[in-house]
Amino acid sequence: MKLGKLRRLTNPEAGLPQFLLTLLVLGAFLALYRSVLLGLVQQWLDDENYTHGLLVPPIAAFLLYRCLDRLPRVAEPSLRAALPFLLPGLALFVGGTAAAELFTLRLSMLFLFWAIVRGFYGVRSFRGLRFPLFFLVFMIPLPYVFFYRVAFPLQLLSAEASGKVLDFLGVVHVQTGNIIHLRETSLDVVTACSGLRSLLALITFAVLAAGLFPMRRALRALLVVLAVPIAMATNALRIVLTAVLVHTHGRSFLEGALHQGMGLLTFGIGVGLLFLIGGGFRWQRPSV
Amino acid sequence: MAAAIRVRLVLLVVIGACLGLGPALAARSGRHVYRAQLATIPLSVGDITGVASQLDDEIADVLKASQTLNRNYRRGDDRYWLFVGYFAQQRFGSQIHSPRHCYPGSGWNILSAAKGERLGGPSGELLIQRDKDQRVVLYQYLTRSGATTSELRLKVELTLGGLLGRPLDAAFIRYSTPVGPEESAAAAMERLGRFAREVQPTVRPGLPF
Repeated sequence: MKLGKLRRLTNPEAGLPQFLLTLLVLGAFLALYRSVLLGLVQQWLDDENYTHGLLVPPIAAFLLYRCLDRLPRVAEPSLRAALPFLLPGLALFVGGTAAAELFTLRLSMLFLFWAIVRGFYGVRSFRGLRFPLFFLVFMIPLPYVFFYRVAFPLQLLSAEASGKVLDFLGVVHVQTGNIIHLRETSLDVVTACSGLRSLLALITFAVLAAGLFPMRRALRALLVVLAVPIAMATNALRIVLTAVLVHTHGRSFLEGALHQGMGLLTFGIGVGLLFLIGGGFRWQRPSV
Repeated sequence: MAAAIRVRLVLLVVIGACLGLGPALAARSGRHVYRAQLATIPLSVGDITGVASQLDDEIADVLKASQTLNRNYRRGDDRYWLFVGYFAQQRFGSQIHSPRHCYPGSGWNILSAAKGERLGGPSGELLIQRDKDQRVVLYQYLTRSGATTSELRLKVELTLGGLLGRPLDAAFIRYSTPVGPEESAAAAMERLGRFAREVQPTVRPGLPF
């Protein structure tokens, strides 16, 4: 690993006052968002819907390192460059603080961070780093109101899709709403089975694959869009597999490590599919 | 070089100002201290009799309401539940939770959601299900501007209140009842509406707005 690349960011020739001011700005930023950052880490650890958030900052740091070669040799610091992110960031901070609204406050943190990067290094450098910086968006959990509004229709959709596959497989069942009644038991397609959890994580991985593999812009967008049907299909696969195993082997497949393992297996299939498609798209390199 | 230092100085001042702004906003709204008198809400209304019920510790910990009232009511064989949560200062971690995400979060599925006028003002109406149990729910939020069922309006009011130093207190009122075995969800909602119309006038005097 060539740590010398990091000199482009730290610029050791700039002198002590600039270095100290940089430390002060970053220190003030961390002090401002200390509780927000701690709360974010806590949510990643506690909330199973967002455990993938833990991976986002290290992946963004890795992507940032990969992008350093693209930076101009000399930084172009400019206050004007910072303003497009500084002003909305401040508005989000004030609104988020006044309304005690966590999502808004977390967004303001990203906007202010982007403003600092643009201000310190200039527009051209920011452009070179935009993918890793944008990728940080995926570490922020959605507001719960939105999450649950989307989750329930997805629950119904997942239950319906699974019911159709069970029909095709000849498994006797009755599906009402989000419940699949089998001969001896019933499967409740709860919020955790809605597919939203894997959808959020798969979209994050799709954006990562789209950024990692060189491909045409339209194919990048297509890869991210494909994350939606892939998440829905792998989630339906999970429900169908669970239903078939419960039907043939009993309720033990509804609980504990077996149930968790099924989730991990189908999620792994989803990630694998995405990277496979992403790998296929890379042959369609952007025309120079 | 001068530009680099100027940018850092300006950002330092801006972020420093934000560091002072958060506590200042909290202090402005914190001047208003009100208390709800939920304990004064009568247990009996006509032929309706109620008993106080302890809120589950885990739920109380998540809610972080200033005061709560949890009642089990009976009229004949019909059972009803009333929950009132009063939030004296809505801050981080202490805000009204929408039943639209509280119920799914605790294992209930929302089968239908509508808006009505059954609580002497706008009311949210839910049909929820967990396992084989179905319930109907009526709820509304009360603020100093009146009653609403809109989480968005609640947020807008909270934002404006926070910026202008207005009181940030608000209350959440929720009535619910099980859907009987021989009963339709619509009939259960009608029955719950009648119950709420009788009990609601005894609840309002317990709130400071």
